[in-house]
Amino acid sequence: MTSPLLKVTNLHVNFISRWPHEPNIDVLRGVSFDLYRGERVALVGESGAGKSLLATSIIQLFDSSARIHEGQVEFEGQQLTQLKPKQLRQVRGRRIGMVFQDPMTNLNPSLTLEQQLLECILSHRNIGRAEARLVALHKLRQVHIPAPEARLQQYPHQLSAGQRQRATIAMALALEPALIIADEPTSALDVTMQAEVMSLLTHLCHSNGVALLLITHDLSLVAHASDRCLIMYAGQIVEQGPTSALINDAQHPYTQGLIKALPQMSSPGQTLFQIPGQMPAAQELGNHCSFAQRCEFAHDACWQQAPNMPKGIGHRASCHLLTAAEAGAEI
Amino acid sequence: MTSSPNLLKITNLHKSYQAPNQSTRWWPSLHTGSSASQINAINGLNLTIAKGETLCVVGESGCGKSTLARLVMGLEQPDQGHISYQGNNISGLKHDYRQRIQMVFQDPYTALNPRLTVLHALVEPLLYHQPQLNRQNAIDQAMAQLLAVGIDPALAQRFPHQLSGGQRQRINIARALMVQPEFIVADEPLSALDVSIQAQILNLLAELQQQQQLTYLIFSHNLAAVEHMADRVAVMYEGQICEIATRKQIFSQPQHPYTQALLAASPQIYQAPNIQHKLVGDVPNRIPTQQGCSLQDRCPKAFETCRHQTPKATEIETQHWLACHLAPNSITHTQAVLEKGNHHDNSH
Repeated sequence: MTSPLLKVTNLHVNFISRWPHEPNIDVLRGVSFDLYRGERVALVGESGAGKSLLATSIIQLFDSSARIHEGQVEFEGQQLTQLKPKQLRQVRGRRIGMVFQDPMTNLNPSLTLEQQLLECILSHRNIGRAEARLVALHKLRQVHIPAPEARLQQYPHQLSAGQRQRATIAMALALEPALIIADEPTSALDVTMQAEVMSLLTHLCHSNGVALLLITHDLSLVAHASDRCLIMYAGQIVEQGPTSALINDAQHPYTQGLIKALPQMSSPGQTLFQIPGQMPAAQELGNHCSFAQRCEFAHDACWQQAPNMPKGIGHRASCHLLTAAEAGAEI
Repeated sequence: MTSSPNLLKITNLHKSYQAPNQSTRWWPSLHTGSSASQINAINGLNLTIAKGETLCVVGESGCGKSTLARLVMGLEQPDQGHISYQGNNISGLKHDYRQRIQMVFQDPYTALNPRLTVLHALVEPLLYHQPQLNRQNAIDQAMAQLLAVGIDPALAQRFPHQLSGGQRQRINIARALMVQPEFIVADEPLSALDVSIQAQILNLLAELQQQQQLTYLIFSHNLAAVEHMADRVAVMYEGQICEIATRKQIFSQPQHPYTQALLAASPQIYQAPNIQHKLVGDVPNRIPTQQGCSLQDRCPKAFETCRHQTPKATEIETQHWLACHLAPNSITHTQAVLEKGNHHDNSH
């Protein structure tokens, strides 16, 4: 098997507390996953699970109070955690592109599209303005923006929300990165635009051989737009596997709950399944399974120690129920 | 549901706004005042809502959903047409109407005043509408309401920033219910929430409706949630209702190309996306420059008649209204079939 494009190993990220008497807050608690070239991987979880922090930790775009205090991020054979800021800037944008949640706030409102796109291309590629402009036009056409020449002269507020998000996708693709991280790219858009942006993003990444890390809280959105799926809860990956296997045979009670809570899973008028309670805050996590207090199957073992993610590849989940079942089968 | 009287009736409603001047100057122009364009946010809309039902209005952003919500709430005055509540025009009802109709806003983060505690936020509307009420009595009612929406009364002294998104949306619902309204208008009540929290809020809304015989007018673009809670669904496009029917009719036999496109675009966990009904292009800029159906440029099934004639709403079966030239029993439908046939003949 070829070596992974991105290999995250046992990543711990914490927020340094401002006061000496307060402990640091561990937000990512040992995240490991691999991502291969051209693969589309979805990262699914509730708000506060640490999805966005994981995305920004890969390229170290996070807040200055966050620190990677353990673990490695290996990308194209380089250890990103050991790079100097200048070297890191060669990777950000150039090799790893980002598409953010809200296109209105991540485009500069006071610059035209041309200024922003060219700034991005010229600062990374050794080409002239005219050629950079052609690249920009080509990418805008790829994302189906009508009349791209005229659009280049416009400011972000003159575009519709869908066009703005497509323009940021064009910007991310313009540098021909090996990986694009899309953080909730469609949550500011409505249904028809959501479908269009998702299909553009997945098709363009596929045709350009770009790997995609897609972050979302909606499992139904990525069910047909990803090859593999990682389910994140309270700073850890609790289940991972090929998307279809994971959806059809969810193993972790949390994933099962996420699927059962979808409105389309129960007939109209029926009471929906709901996962009781809410995700514990990072400070409240003890040395036990982080899902135990909301889990309907929790038993003694869940409160005594945290479950481990089984080693290997393929569909697996970190849950004591599964390890118990396996042990039972072996005996 | 059909036998119950109409609670709210909207007749031929129009609302337009002045479009921002297209030139880059920020000062008002002296010369182009007359030619300044109008945006028709609501464009001849008719709608009735029966007591006790849940009507969901779906449509893209920019189709006029929020304007409609504001008009129903009496926060905006219509240019033409009228809205009547139990037979009375709402422009004549002021204080009394506001008490019977309440709103739940989209974003639970901005809908609550960050400087008021939960208790204060709940008591405020009650004391506004019933100033003679004893303070202790108002606090007791607020505490009871917190319990009704599943919030621990111990959280009453907290500020909004100390609550999670789901808790804040519950507080918003509790605040709307404080004055015992009959009618709730909710503008995208779920869109800011996570999937697992959405389920909690959907269950809460259903439970409250059963207990208090509430009528809901819910604006949403989350079709999965709409299918779950609606009795009837209205599909809105360009300030008009293009299709309205019972939930079952809309989701099993959508007739309007726009409804079909919306349903096809809605993500499904166990079904691959359907690209057959895809719309082309973007939402138009709403400045009326053309005749005919407002969907004509994006509709994959548009034909000649759509370019000249605005389709009228017709009842194609009981409770199922459709504004499309392709309606099964409309005369223009036969015309379309004929035209299609001619077209094929010509191409051969």
